[in-house]
Amino acid sequence: MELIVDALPTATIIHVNATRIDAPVALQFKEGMRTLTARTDGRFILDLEQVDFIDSSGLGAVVASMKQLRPGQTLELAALQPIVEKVFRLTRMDTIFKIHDTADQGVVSGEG
Amino acid sequence: MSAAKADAPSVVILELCLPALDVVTPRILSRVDTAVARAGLKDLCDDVQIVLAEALNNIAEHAYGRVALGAVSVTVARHGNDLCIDIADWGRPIIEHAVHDATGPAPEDLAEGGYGRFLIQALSSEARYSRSGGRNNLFLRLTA
Repeated sequence: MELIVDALPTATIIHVNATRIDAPVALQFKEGMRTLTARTDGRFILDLEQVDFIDSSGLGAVVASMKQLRPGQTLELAALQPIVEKVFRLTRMDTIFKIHDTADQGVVSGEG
Repeated sequence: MSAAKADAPSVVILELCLPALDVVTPRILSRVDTAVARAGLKDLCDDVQIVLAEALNNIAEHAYGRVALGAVSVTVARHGNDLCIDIADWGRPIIEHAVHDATGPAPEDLAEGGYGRFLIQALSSEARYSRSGGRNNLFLRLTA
């Protein structure tokens, strides 16, 4: 599980360089997110373009990543692939997170 | 047996028995995915992945927990346009499989878990758990 950071002036994009966020890596993901989001304030956009699969452990880790943010920080999601989109929709977590079609669109939407 | 079922015999497309460990789950999912696609039920592939991952995670975590290592057996059969999955393990009873959860946690509660049983139920047309002779059985039916 590798998280790659792209620090832009208006937002920090975190690319998930893995095809799965599931039980074996959920804790590692959460800890990685904790470390990365501790460094800067503002908007974080989690780019899930590479992620084909998420299970309830992975979903829980994404929720935990949001809950461990400080005031002044936000976590948005981008590029949900079919299974990921379905899990977020069924659990209605798509109503909690701001979701963008792509990370780039997420960055632009925050500049308006 | 109903007439409709007699017309559509159950054909086993995959049988496997592997360790119930979260790191093995992706391998099981991958083999089931290939078998389901080959059987011509590609439309069910995504739902099968979601449902089976939750069932296998529950077995690894709750039936065997962190103290025991055990096996899980998965049998996948095609029955007309239905996919029937029998999952068995020899661990402790799985309360998570016995309950019914039609809604899952409320999104605003920001729960970090508890979605598994709900996802299984939401995507299966039938989900039946039973315990017999020291064995957990979970029968799942997904309909295309």
